[in-house]
This record gives sequence, C-alpha cells and structure tokens, in this order.
Amino acid sequence: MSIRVRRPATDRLELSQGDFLIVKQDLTAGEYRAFLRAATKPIALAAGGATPAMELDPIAAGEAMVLAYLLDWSFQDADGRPLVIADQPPAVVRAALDHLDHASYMEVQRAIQAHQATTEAARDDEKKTLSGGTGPDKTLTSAA
Amino acid sequence: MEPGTIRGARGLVKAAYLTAAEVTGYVLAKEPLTGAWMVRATVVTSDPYLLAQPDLVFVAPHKGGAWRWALASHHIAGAAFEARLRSL
Repeated sequence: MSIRVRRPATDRLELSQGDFLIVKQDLTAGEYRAFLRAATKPIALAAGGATPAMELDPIAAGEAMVLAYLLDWSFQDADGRPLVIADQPPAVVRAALDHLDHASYMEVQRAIQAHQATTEAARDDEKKTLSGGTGPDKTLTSAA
Repeated sequence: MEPGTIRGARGLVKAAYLTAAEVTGYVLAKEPLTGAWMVRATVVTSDPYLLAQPDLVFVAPHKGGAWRWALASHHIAGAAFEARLRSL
C-alpha cells in the first residue's frame, strides 16, 4: 500500500523588485485535468475524421498554468494598495493578471513554468528512488 | 441586521489552500445560549473528500483580504450548510 494523496503544500517564488508569488507545490489530478481543459483547443480534422482531436493552445496554455498554480502574490495596484487575489473567484484572478503590465505578467508566467518543471523533475526522481530505478533488471550471466 | 451578525455574498471552506466548499449568502451569528459563532449558508459547490479532512477553515473574502475562522464542526443537508466556528 502506498500514499497517493499529497498534503496541500505551497512554495514561495521570489521575483524581481522584492516581489514574490505563493504557488501550489503540486496540482491534484482534478486540478491537472482542469489545466489541460483550459490549455487545449479542438482542432478541425479532414472530413470523415473518426474522433475529434485537441491540441495545445500556446496562448491559453501559459495563462492556464498561471491560474492553476497561483495562490497569492505581493503585487500592488497603481495606488499602492494590495492587489488581492487570494481566495478570490477565478474571474477576479484572471482580471488582475490581465491588468498587469506585460513584462510583469511574463515574469509571473516564467516563474511558474520554471516551478512546474522543477517540481516535475523532483517527482520523477522520487519515483525512481521509490521504485529502485527505472532500468530493466540485470540478468547475471553464468561464469561457467 | 442584528448586532454581532455578519452577512456576506460568498464564503469558502478551505482545506489548506484547496476549496472544500463554496457557499453563498452566508450569515455569521453568535448563538445566544452557548455564545458560539455559527455560520449558515447555501452550498454552491462542495468536495466530499476535502470536507472530510481535518482543520477546515471558513474564509470570508472581503475587498482588502479575508476573515478566517476554524471550523469546530459542520453539517451539510442538501444545499444547506451550517458550521460552528472558533477563532484560529
């Protein structure tokens, strides 16, 4: 038997100018599916195609990843008041992201993409450790 | 509104950062007999797995942030949500 549910944990990602993001350490299966739904779009196949197909939407995928992971930040609005996103509905978080200046948004997106890549690599390492390696079992050859 | 009563449009029940339930039209009031704070609301969405987790928190977002209380106990019947609160 093994534990297959992680306790929700957060990470703090440092940004320029002393700012920071609070992000989920991992996504649950449900959150990952929601991310995939938001990051893909249907594509038209030639007539007679058997099944509908989806492809990654490069514009939507970046925002979907940010929305999937982002919990809070230290950002302020143009008047220096906290730009509140913690516990706000997704529409409020999306609107706050849309009103960031472009460079700040890209800094957020890059930080979260790097976090996702780092976390995924760490999980892969965990799996290797728990399973005792990914390579095939070695067969010892007889010396006789 | 009675003194000591707080009303709000949208509240959340959180298990860490995960949303165990989203409620609407919440009313927070002190029970006259026990002095305990109770919240009553209508459930919009709920996650049975997360609602069974320990250390749930009721979050009442407002313009500048959010108020938070720990859930001492809670009960959902249909769309009706009721919980006894204690300070965090």
